[in-house]
Amino acid sequence: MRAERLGTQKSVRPVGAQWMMAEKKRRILLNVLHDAQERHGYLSEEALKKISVEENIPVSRAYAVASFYSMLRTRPQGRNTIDLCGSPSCVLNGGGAIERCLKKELGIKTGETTPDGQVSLYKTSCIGCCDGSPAMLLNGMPCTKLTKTGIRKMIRELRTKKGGKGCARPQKKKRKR
Amino acid sequence: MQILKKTKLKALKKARALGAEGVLQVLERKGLVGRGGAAFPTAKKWRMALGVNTDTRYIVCNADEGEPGTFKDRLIIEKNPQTMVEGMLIGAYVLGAKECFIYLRAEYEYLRKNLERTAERLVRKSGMDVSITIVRGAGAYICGEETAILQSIMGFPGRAMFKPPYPTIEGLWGRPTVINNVETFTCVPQALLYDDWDASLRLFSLSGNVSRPGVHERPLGVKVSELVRLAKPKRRLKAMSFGCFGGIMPVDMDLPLTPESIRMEECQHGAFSIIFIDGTRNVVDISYSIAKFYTYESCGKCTPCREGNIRMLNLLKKVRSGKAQRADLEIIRELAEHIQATSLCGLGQTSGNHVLTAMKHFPQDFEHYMRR
Repeated sequence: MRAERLGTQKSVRPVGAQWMMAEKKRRILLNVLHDAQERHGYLSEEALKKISVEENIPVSRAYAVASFYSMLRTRPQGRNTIDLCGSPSCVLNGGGAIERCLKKELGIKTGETTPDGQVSLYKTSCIGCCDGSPAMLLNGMPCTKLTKTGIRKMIRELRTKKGGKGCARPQKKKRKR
Repeated sequence: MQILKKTKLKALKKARALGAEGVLQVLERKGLVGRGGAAFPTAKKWRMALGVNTDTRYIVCNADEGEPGTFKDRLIIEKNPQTMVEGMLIGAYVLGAKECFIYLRAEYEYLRKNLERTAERLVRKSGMDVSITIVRGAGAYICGEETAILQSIMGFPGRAMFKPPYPTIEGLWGRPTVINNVETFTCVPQALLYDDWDASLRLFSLSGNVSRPGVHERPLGVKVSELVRLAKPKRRLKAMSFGCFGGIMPVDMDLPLTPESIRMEECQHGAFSIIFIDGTRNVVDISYSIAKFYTYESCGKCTPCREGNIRMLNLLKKVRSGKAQRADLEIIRELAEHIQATSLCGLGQTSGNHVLTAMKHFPQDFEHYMRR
């Protein structure tokens, strides 16, 4: 039956009622969730309930989407977030040592937040900075060619900067030409 | 680089002069194919969407470049977003689409502001009745797959769906939807405007154990030796991995890189992202890190992919700990083949490539762990 439908490309079956409804509303749920996360820091139960009422969708779906994507957090996160790249390029260029250094300096495991609520450490699959590996995202901004000394300095700066988001960038390794 | 040439809305003007059919004919003549990895002819895809009798069509630009080792789209979005947006506008003109979406991955959030401004400016300048919305991805590799990206835009978890119906026939909200890669959309205006546009040029993302990683534009059939020369490895190279999904093969300096020659080695080229691995590394360790990636990124829809990749990771862990027997290698092979045969989407179907090709080309690396 499916093959038949593909064969007759000229006519498409009428768009179902549920699609019509969804098409008219046309708000991108992912963008809504991102905005809410930026406002509240994370997607709390209350925030998701509110969104589900505003968007006229079941709470279960709002939660399903929020929990499916790794960059949407359903648990409180620190003021600063670190997303460490775990791609083979980064692993080949010493990403493992950087990860150990980060964990040791922060005293937490991947996916956790420091007790003072300053830094959360996450691991991602690839941040698309393989030309500057090892790399990570600090509050969404890429930091490339990481070194252990740079990491230690950065964390010291993040720790001392209580309150607002730190903008410390780790030192870059000098490139030999 | 050809891909960074700017067309400054001249291509759109030319497209309007040519008409929809004229544009499609030019794209067909120039031989533009999709650059996301599947190499599907772009004009054919657009024609399929045009063949559906409806008044609403959508365009989606896939900027969810999740493949480890690939960073060519980042380069385009950073350096040449104008031409990419112009390509989308040409697509909107040909298809009569009123709404376009750019699915930008969360890791490229820092590029969003500039892209948004560029899109707004170009839409205003072109005077077309089109809106371009940027959808902010949220860190799911699977959303690079065309049915998953649609689910994600419509506000569902990004899980792959059965095909057919193909998105070109029934996509967003049941309407025909054309999904093209960032590089493809950038090529559209360039192919239309420039007579000397070369269809054989591809972007090679080189990274790994090399001192000069980066994106290089070279024609298909370029020798591996030339890419190695460009990337300047510190030590002698042993293997190269085509992203995570393409498989791992030995560095054969005289091999010309074409889809056919890569397939001969049982690998897949994908978006030509090459991770070089030098002689000091064991391929099993790389395979282990790739298995970790698949365990993490499987969307969980198909059981063989969801559970199988966890088993695969555990088996490779066993190999690395030196406790594995020869029978375990046979189980790994069997498991990889099973996952490939029984998964729905490209992620599952390619998730065994790395270990199968590693076992074929580098049995000595597995032996190394066996003997301990």
